[in-house]
Amino acid sequence: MRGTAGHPDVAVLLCADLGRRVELSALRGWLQQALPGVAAHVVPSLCAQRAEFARALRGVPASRLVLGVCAAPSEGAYFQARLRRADRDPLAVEVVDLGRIGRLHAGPVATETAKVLLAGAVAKLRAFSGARPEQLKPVRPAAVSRRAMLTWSVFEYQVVPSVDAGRCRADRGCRLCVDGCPRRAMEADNGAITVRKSDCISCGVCVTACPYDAVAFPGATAAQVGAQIAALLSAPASLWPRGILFTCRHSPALDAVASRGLTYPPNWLLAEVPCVAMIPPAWMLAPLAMNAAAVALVPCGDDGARGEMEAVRGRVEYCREVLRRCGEGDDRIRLLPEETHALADALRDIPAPAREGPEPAAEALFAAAAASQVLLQLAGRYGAPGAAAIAHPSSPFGVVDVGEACTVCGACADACPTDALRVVQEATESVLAFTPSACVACGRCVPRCPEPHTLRLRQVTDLRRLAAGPVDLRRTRTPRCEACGAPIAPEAMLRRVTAILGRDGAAAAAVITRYCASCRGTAPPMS
Amino acid sequence: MSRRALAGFRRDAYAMLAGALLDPDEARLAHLAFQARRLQRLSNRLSGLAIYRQWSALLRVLSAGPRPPSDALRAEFTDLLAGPAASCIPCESHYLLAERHEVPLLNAALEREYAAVGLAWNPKAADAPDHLAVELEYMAFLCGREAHAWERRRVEDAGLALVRQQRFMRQHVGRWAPTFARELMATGSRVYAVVGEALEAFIHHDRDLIDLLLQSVSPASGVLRQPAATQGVP
Repeated sequence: MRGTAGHPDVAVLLCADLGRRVELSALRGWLQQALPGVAAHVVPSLCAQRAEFARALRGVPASRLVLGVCAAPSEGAYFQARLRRADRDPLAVEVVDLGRIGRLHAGPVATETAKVLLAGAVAKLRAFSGARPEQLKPVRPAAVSRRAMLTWSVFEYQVVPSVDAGRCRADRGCRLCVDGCPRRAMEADNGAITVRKSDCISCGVCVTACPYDAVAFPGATAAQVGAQIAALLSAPASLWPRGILFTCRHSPALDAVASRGLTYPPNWLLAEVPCVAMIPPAWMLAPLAMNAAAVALVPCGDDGARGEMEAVRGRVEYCREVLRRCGEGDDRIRLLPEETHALADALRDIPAPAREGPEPAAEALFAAAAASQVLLQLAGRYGAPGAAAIAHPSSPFGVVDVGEACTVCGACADACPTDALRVVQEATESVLAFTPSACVACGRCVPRCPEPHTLRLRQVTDLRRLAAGPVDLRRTRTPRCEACGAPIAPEAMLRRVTAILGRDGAAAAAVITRYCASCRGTAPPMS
Repeated sequence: MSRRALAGFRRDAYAMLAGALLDPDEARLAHLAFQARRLQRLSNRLSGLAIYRQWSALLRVLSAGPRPPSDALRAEFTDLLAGPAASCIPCESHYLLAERHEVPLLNAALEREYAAVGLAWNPKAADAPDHLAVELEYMAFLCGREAHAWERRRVEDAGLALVRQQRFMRQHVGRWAPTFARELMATGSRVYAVVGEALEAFIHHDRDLIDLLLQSVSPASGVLRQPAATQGVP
């Protein structure tokens, strides 16, 4: 819900000390004019003096705040306490480090970049749906003095994910977030997922591992990231073409670039996520589908999810393969080197976009369910051959095929966490149906198939199949119970059972193939 | 905030939440109002805690005293929490036990837990041992012990009190109180929705806080000589 000029829903507070690097009056005027419902204020010494910050908070009625600051606040705990005292939710605040922008880019360019980044932060904040009490955990302050052993002056809080039980399919056996968590901090218990907060490092990997968007993580939900990217790509400004620069929230890499006097083109627009390890292929490709010129990932400098960098490399390679198959240059997707000079070098050029000018953004492309739509949209944009099938170990999609021995018993469908495999009961037939866009290639179906070498899963992105929608893998007649008329079981399965029972079990097989489970006990004796 | 003050605040918070879930007669409401006003004076310190907003709302409601008139509040209390058709049952057995016949076993286990720290169960007590107010009072008692230990600088005793808190939180109150609180919030009652919101936030927060406080008195920190969990807590 957006505010109005009279009742703004978002306030942007800009530190007046930024005036040396950014044209604050122009920036403030643009924010109020271009972003309806936003009130912008320039606050003297916002970053330097706590009292000014508290006074500024009292002066703005909006509940959501974007802070344009000289440097990210170093005393996070005091900063959050001030916000709470002013009846603000610290999670409904976005901090944009405009000081770094001022150090990287000079004069009017810095102001233009600041406009776009602030527009992105406003959009991200508006997509914030509120926090739950379980999404914060107190942590020990980084440095504890000996004296502090007996005192506890202030707490710091870490944002952790929570699971929306209404969306979660753990009751159906889904464990994708549990398997995806690099710290094994998620547990499945009695059909529900719990987060073991003490082990959680807030990397956000679970958010994108969930195919139902059931993991909520303030600041990193698909809705928030999608809204931010859409705003970055659509806000009117002179910076075109635009690239999206994903970086870990705590990565020092870009600060290192600025502090060494290096720079990169201002068209690279920053989108912070908890850790780049959480970015799935669809999030790398979605900005390109929205006519971004390129996407780059700053490697994770944090030890926390470092073990995940191999997975990140694999996803980047997959996306580059998609681009090559689409006939595009694969340098539109880049995993940047860690070394500061090499990182700045790798950002030096930005390719031309596929089409001129911005296009209407589709932030819904970031939803988990929209991953196939991203690929199809991208293939359409670049004119990819419709039959392209990309086999890659990091493909987010799989293709399932079954052989003649499939009996449509449904064991694979029971194991499938995303309903990509389903048994559909029609009037006279049982059908094993497969929806390619829902398959995440988790492989749970393979070991569940009782028939050897019958079910085959390939980690393939098949654009033709994604576009075609659900297909029937196997279809078999369903005989009816001779007593009550109810469907008994797929005929192929009954044949298989009969074969297993053999000659010795012929009498039992005759009952099983003629009567449903309810009528077997009361069926007339076989002649 | 010193550790003693933090433990003292947690003791008062548990006691206040327990009181808010009992029959709201005039005397109890007056006592809660007095306690709420006292805690409001700690406002500056409490803003360092993530529960500040929910807690401030609760203190605002309780410090107003018997308003709405206690008769109306008592009728609401009966409808929601105490009557034969109560919409929110404040008992652990209601949330965690699948079978009715297990209730005496749970209550016996709780009585043993209370007895282990020297609290004798009064058989004439109106509420069962698994009533939320009783469990919260027990947590308040343990926090009081911890505060006392910090006051005397008996770090090991504080650690033992924290171990008990952690265990009781994980095995009992922390497992069901948030669900109960969400049901209370959904009832639409102005006063009890605020109580539910503060209860949910506080339990989530305290579960993590106890873990954190216990880490800081672990052998690795040099405060406890051996793991607290092995120090003879029955």
